[in-house]
Amino acid sequence: MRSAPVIEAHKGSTLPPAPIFVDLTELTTQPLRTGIQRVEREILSRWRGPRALVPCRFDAEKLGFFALPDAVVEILTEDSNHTVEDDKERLLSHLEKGTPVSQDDIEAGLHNPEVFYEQRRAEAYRALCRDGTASVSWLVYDFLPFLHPQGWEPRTTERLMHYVRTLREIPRAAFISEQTRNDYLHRIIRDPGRAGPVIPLGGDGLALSRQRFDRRRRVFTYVGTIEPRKNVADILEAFEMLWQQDVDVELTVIGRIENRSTREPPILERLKPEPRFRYLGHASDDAMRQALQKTRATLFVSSLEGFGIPPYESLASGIPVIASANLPSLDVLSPGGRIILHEIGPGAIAGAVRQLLDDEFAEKLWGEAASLRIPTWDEFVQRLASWLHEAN
Amino acid sequence: MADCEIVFDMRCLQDPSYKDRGVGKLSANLVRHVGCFRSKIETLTLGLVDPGLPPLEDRFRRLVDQVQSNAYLGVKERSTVFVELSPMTHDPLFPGRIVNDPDILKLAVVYDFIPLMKPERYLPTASSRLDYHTQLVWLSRYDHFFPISQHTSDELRRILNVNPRHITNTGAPIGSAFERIDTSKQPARLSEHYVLVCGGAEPRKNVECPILAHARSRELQDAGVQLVVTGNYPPGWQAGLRDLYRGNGGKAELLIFPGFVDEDELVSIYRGARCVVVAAEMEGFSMPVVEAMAAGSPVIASSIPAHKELVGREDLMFPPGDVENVGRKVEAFVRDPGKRAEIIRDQSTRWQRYRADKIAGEFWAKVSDLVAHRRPKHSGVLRGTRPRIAFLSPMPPDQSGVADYSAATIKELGKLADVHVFSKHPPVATPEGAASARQITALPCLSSGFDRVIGVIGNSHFHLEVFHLLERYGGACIEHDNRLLGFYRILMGSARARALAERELGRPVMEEEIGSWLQDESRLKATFLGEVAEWASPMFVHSRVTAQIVQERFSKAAIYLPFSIYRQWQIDPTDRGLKLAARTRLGIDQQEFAVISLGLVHSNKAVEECIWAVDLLRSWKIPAKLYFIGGFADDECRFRNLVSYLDLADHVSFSSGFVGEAQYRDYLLAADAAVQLRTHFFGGLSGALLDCIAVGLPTVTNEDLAMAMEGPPYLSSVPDHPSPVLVAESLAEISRKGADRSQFDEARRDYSEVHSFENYARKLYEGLGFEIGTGHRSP
Repeated sequence: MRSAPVIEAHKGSTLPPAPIFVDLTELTTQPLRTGIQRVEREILSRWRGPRALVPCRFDAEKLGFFALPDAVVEILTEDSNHTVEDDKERLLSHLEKGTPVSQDDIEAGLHNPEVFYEQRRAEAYRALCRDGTASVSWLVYDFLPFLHPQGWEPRTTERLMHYVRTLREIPRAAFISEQTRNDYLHRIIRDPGRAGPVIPLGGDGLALSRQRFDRRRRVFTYVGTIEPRKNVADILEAFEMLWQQDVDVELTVIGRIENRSTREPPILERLKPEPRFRYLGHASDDAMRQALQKTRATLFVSSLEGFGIPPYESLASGIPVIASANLPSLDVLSPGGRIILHEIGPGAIAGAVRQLLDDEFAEKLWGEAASLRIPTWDEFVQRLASWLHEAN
Repeated sequence: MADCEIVFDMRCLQDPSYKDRGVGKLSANLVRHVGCFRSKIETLTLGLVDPGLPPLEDRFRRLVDQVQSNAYLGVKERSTVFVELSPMTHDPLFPGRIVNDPDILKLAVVYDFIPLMKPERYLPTASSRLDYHTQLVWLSRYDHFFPISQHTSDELRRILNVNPRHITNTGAPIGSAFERIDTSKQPARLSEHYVLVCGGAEPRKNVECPILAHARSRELQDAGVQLVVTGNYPPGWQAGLRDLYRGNGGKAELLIFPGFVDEDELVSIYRGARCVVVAAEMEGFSMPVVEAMAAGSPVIASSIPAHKELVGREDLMFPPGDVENVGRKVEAFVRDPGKRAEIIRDQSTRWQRYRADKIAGEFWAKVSDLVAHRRPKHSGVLRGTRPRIAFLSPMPPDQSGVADYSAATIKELGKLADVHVFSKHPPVATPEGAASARQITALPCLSSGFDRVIGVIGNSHFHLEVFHLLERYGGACIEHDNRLLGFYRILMGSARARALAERELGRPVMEEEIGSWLQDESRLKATFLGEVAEWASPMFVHSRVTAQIVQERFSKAAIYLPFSIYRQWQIDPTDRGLKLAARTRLGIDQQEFAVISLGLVHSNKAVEECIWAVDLLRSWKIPAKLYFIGGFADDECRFRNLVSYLDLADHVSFSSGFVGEAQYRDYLLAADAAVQLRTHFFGGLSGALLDCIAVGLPTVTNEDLAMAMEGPPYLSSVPDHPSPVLVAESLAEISRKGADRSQFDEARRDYSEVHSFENYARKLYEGLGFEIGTGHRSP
């Protein structure tokens, strides 16, 4: 599938259904492996039809969509250790070889799994949707910058409004969480006719085998970026409190630090000599797997999330989690396997850690986590494909 | 609480020309020993420093409890003593308000009147003579004088006609190194036989006289006796003296200029000398004479009055120009060890009254005595039963909101106090409530005729004169704005703006960063209020948020005054009938959801976000129309283009120029809602929002502004980084609830009472330390 110019599904059929073009403009410009770009890569690598998927990008200079050669898909789906800059370099020459997509073809099926704020691209979508016949769909992640602007640089939101303005013209929208769908319905677009289903993301992206409880596990792990809304400082301070009280517990923190974080750097500096603490920074999937194999529970106490994949993946691996309330990712799961904190602070976090250090309690949570049914990436892509297929 | 406050003018300890010389040593000694006074009366000490001079070094800063950068003392809750450590060396206007204050006991240390003795050298121009005489006039206003010698005391009486009862002699203290036991060795650069001449790079030190005497003395030359001349002579001056020495028969190798030496080395040089010659033509006091005696070297000196009272023997003195006389006396010392020993014995006790602790002890004993015998200061205001307040502010006709606000303030404040207004453009008629109105000068800052001086500061050029006076002379300050970025960057210049921002933020700030703040104040990180906070006593602000920032960033307790409503209504602005009539006059459809935004249309009011919010509202089927009431401050094209791009030309209206008062009020009556946003924070206020509140109009504003204005319940707040979605959501909620303003009438009336000018004036009056109803200062 990775070598094909299109991701085909109906080999042998004399009249294959029209392909669906998938708009990868942002991914091909900034080929990251996290967040939305990770979702896009999962779509590319797990697509099984029924309709063929054709990657394309919007060219803001030529004001049109261009189908991308198969080499682009190869680069974007290979499991390599290339850096983002490497991938950019590798993609560059292939992007120039894109072929224009005809208006009829693009109207037959265009799916956008990206968030973008570029005015010309937005105008292209609005033009496509103007007469109401084009089959255009978007996957919507969240509305955080619009509903919680304080987490972004000042005056950011106004520049992002092209996304919202265009979204209200898009005939079909699917959502990664119930919360996003509710926001769409009741706060942003306020038009129930266009709202599609919730398609939860997969929890098996780490490819970590189901873990088993072991009383010897004393490590708690945080995975995610370090930025103000994630409250990592509270986690660090909670463990400082525990260590001051001679509690036998360890902490591993994985994730790059963003420059808006002001609380965490001095604490990380202070903890450098602490043998029970490890800060790995940005880590590969392999390093993350290794860390989780020693983990008793993960922590994720963010104040604000569009989805919140780390606790979701933790539970998918069978590892309990200490999490903040109202994480959209956990809302799609049945209860169990987690301690939910309604108020976030070092004291509350330390209390939850103490609870989980109790073997009996921990074993119970491990049992609950093991019984949770968590969607996989295959299921996500399959549901997305079915929904897109319904359009025809 | 302390019973007494002692205020020192410490400028001489900042000034490199004085801090390590006689003036500085004497001054530091007195300040250092203030404990002598404290042991009798509980005392606070305050040092006045001039920001225009180099910063006060820590070694001096530590000598006082607090330091202040101006001489405005505000509320005096205890006896106050002002000690002018050096009255003739710096701008006498700086402490002028204190010197003019009859409540304060003012003491001056007086050194000399040398410039009057040789005006052709020291006061060569008319301007310098005028300045010096101005300083003399200010000096005459002190209550008690501490001349450093009998000679200076005599001059004080002669020149200023000071009553001897108001004079107590003091002296200059000898350095501690002179009192240590002699363990020094012969100075390395000098031979066993040398004569010391105490000089200094001042012609009046008259070192030429002993240099000539030494050069011409065959006895001294043949005996190889060196002549050591102390004082920091520049190379050119030194060369001239060497030429003079050689030209009169002196051997070049015998004339030594040791240059700068530290105090220990100086003591060694004194101690090793066969004798010391001090030949000055004029002195107020002579430290070298005392130092020589303390070091155990015989000293001969010119027969000027300051030397006579120190040396006390005619045979050890010489007329300043008498070279032969000096030569004879020096030769006698070198030749006759017995004579030398006899003089040393005679001089061994004369210097002891100049020990540092003894001088300071006597000084502070006299101050204690003066304080004890001073009549208790009256507790009322200085003149009459009503306080007199100097009010320095822009005033109408200045086209400034602050000018209007000050006029309204004075109208009410004038009911409590005599308010004298000083402004750049004095009003044609005396403003209502004011006792007088004059052009602004330094006079109110120096005069004893005002119990308080209030300067009104804001972020515009209208405040420049007031700012400079506040900077120099201090005073109470009403700070109208929550940031002074434009004022500093544009009027004070880039370097000062940067330095101030760096001090506030504790990090480097580049010019580009300040430029980016000017372009978009939502990025602003510094308030630029640090200097005003430092100078003001007290500082008044109109927002609790600003007060908190001032406390956190500058450790200054600012007084909060509730910002007052200055657009009054004689009708009930919540009346529905009036609303409908106003809508008819303005042509607003009755079905339309009319949203107004008042004031200059400026990007720092989140104009784009408001336009986008209208786009959203209309997509939600709410028939909204947004009216911008006010001219464009910037970016007109950008805003109009956005309206056009979003196809909102029929739903967003910009006023076409100046909006008259009647029409402005009509919009306030006619609107269903308002939106007043700010993208810069720090507790900034909005007069336009105040107008909306005053008519009970539901208004969407951002959190910082709502908190700063202590908004009533009919304000809806959105986060400080405004999002069009949240703005639209809040407006939609107002639309959903219906727009009957009468439901907010009680809250509106309560707010209006708290935010009335009557209440404002009372709080201002109390904040200045006066008690309502008594016309007296507190306590």
